[in-house]
Amino acid sequence: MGPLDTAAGSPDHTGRELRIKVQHLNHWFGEGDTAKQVLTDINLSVHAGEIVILTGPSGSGKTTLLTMLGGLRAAQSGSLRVLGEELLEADNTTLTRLRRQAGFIFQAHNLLPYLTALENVRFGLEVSPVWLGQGRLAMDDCAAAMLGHVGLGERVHYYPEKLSGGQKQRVAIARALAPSPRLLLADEPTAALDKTSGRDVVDLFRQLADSHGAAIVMVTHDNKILDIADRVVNLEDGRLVASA
Amino acid sequence: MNPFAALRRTPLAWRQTSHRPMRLLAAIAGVSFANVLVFFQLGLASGLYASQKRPLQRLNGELVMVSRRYTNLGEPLNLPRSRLMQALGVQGVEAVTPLYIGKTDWLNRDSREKKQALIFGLAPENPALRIPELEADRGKLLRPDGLFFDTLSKEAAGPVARIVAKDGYYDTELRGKRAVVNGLFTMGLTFAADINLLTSASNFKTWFPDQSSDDIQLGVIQLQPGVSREQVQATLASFLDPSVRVLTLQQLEAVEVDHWRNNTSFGLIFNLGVLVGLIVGAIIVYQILYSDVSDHLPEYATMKAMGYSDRFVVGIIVQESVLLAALAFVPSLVLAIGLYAVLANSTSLLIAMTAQRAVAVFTLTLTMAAGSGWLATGKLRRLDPADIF
Ligand SMILES: Nc1ncnc2c1ncn2[C@@H]1O[C@H](COP(=O)(O)OP(=O)(O)OP(=O)(O)O)[C@@H](O)[C@H]1O
Ligand SMILES: [Mg+2]
Repeated sequence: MGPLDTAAGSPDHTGRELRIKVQHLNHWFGEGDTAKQVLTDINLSVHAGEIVILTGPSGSGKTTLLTMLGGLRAAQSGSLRVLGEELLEADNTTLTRLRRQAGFIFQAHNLLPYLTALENVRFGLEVSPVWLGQGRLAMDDCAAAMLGHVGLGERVHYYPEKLSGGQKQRVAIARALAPSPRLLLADEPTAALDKTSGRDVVDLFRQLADSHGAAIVMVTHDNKILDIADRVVNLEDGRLVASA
Repeated sequence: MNPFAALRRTPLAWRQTSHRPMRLLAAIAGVSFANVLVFFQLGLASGLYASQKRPLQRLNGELVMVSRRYTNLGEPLNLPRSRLMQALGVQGVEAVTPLYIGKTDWLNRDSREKKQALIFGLAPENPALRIPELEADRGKLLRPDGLFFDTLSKEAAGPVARIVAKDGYYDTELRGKRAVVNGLFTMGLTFAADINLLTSASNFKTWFPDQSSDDIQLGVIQLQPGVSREQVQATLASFLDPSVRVLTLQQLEAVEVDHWRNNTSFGLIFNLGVLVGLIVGAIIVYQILYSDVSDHLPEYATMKAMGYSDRFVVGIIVQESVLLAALAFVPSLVLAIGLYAVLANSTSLLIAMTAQRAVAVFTLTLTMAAGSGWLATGKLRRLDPADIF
């Protein structure tokens, strides 16, 4: 890709490239007296090819942490290095650049209603100049293949309104996976899926980590898929506690 | 980056606009309506201005001499006939002839209603106005107290044209003296009066006895074939008394239109009308795009979260607004051409679509739409993708 490859994280003693390094991260919502701390002294490292599952009760700060890892909000205190970029008080340009390199799967699918499943996935590719340079046919092939992987090969030309909740979620997953991001952040990606398609999806995550060396952080409450993780970390009231 | 990369992108603005065809149609109808409003104002204005030129287009010469303070035909100002005669000495000038112009009340014989008339006095041997009806029957003009009556005069003048066509004459009174309409002509009104009349120079002087025999109101200068009017104009300007000036017919027409556009409230009224049309269009575009932004906020936040820049996201909305304006322009142009035909038929105004006006309205509506599109993206620019998740 671009010059960002060289700016990516450096390997540590394990020999694998460090994609995320969080140190003493704190985060507050609100200002002054009404400020509410939601993340307290978070320390977390994620390497290339590693899948980390983030669990914790509702309201513990999982989504907040994930959005910070994906460059959706700038860090306020501590250090947050993602794909070689320091995100502490990062400006918009830096955040946008990071977002382009990371795949994000949200709790809500947020597909564009006026585009078909295929076009929604292609739209995820078009943000990259490299894919854009390869042309529409190449992007369509890639998008169709990824929809096939999530079990929607028959429905590539459906509009979101004609798809079930689970199917829409799978289109959103395909959209995030299609560009083979070096970092994948997923917020309860299997919540709307049945057991088999949930399993298929996490198998795809595993494949992305193994074959492309992607670093993956996934929030989930689903105990059935914990086995896919290299590590499980638990967030409680804004603090990371050792995995169960 | 490949310059054609943009073509490979999914045309989001178009897909989003066309996704709901009924809504798109309603939007196009609204913006078209606003455009038609603008076309209507511009057409009416230019028609009215063009109509002011009608008597001037009949002037029988290449140059005219008017008083320095001349502003429009409806306010005739005297200049000495001797000044006009001076032009005869300039090389290239074939002849000169005076045009007498007066404003007077006209009495409707039946309703006793008073109307404004503009009366033109012509030298029968070389009329300053080209009037075909007069050429056919020049003798009639020589009759003392004889008048020609413009068939396009206002109805309120009375059934003059009908009676003259039937009986051959219509008796009336002008400035306390007897007058007989014994001929008809067709020229068209201006804002200056409700009625146009023609008469001979000598008759004119009997109705306006207060004017000296040397007073004229406009001098027509006729050139020999092939002579440059600019050159003669320059020569005249070099020696003539500064109380008069010499204009080409085009310049005289421009003075006339300028007067009505700038020295009266007509210009302001029409400009306001155009502005109202544009604002209506702007509000419609703003409404549509604002609700589009509000309805799809999570999707736009997702785009930002995927790494699309603010500029890209705002660009979608601005493209949509331009698209709407462009789509709405075509039907509005067709409607306006139809409307102009109806107006030209039902009034005697000279209203027609010009390429220049079509281009002007297209540019205005595009600019207006892009502006309101940009305004509608306020929420979008402030949108923080993190707040949606
Ligand atoms: N934009 C915001 N402004 C203020 N407070 C917020 C904001 N977003 C989240 N919070 C608060 O921060 C805390 C953590 O929220 P977060 O969404 O990270 O929880 P979560 O672990 O993802 O929960 P869930 O499992 O229900 O999704 C909550 O107490 C929440 O009320
Ligand atoms: Mg959450």
